[in-house]
Amino acid sequence: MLRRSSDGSRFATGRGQFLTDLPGVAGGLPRIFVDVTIASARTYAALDTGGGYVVCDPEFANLAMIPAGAECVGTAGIEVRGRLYSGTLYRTRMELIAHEGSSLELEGVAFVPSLDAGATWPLPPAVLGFRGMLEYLRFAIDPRDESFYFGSC
Amino acid sequence: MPLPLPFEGPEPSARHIIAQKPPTLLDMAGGLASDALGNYVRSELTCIEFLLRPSAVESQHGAPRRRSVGGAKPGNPVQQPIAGHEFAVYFTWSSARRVKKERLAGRTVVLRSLLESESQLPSFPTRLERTQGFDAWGASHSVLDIVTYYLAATFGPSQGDASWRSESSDEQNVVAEVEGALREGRFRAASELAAVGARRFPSSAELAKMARVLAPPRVLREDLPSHESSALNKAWFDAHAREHLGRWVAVKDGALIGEGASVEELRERVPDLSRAVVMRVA
Repeated sequence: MLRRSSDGSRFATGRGQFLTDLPGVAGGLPRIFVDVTIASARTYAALDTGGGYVVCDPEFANLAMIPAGAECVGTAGIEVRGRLYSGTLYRTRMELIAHEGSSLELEGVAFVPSLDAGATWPLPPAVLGFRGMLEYLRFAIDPRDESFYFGSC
Repeated sequence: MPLPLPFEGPEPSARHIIAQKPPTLLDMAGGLASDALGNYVRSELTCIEFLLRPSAVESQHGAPRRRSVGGAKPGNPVQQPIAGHEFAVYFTWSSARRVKKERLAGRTVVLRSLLESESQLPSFPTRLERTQGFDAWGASHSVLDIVTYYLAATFGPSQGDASWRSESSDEQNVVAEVEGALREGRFRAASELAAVGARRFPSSAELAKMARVLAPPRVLREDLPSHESSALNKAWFDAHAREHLGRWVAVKDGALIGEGASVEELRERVPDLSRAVVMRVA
């Protein structure tokens, strides 16, 4: 059931289901993963209320064909666990996938780091940050049934 | 030579000054000043305002009779040089009645608590880095620094100090500022600077691109169909992800359709990954 605000309007237009405790991901830290499509590839993206934009593993970004089809600005920097990574910012489309209600398509900024040869990206394939992304949406978590509610605001 | 007054009347406010200046002079400095005020509004449910009076006028006519634009009583003025001329600057703040408050829940209220007393404003070393939207400037400047900067720039290239001019009106400097903010991870600041810069320099392809790429997210559609497979895929990951540690997996309609040590290997094995959830379980 999609929640409503006190004035009767819908708080959310879609409800997805989130995953937690994916083994081996994020160093074993509990994270919330939501079902998304970024550009042309679907994955579970980790929510990061302390992060910014959508941050993509370069391998995943390549699969999603982000660099091929998007306008970009570089070079940007992002700090991950005390280390500064440089990369490129792309304007790209993404979809928050609903299990109930409607899925939401939006356009936002994705950061794709440039890694040294042989280096691996320490974060999940995609991370949805608060700053510059989630802060422009309505969203809520219901841990009882692992629901992720979302909608525009 | 005294600075020609860009305004008339005894109580010019920043808002009035901005309103009276030609748009070309406002795009950068005035725009940023407005954004600065807007950021207060958005982040604090409070709008800080400031009144400017040339010190000569101040000494001749005394304190402003009328209260500020927002209706609150101005505090004691600060004598502040702007573009080489002495001004009395009054600060005050008022409620932002026209803001959609429902969009502001959860915003920081640090500044409100810091500025509890108007009399503290001139001397209080208020930093804005703790407020939303001020990460570009707040790290090293006080409220007074920032307002002074914007207003000095607003006075324009014909009267303003050369250093202000060069900082505020050169296209390449704006590009460099955006790039610098990006390198330092100050994304919101970069977005705001790019947007203002693109308005100020409409012929700049670089700033236009920066403004497009860095613009806030935009909802395109909110009526797309739901995916039944979502629950099936979740059930697979809950039950089986642990068996594939260190691997990239592709799961479609609740079933594993391929795995590999890398995305490339996975793609070689499963050329069609459309609609599949691709995840690295490590």
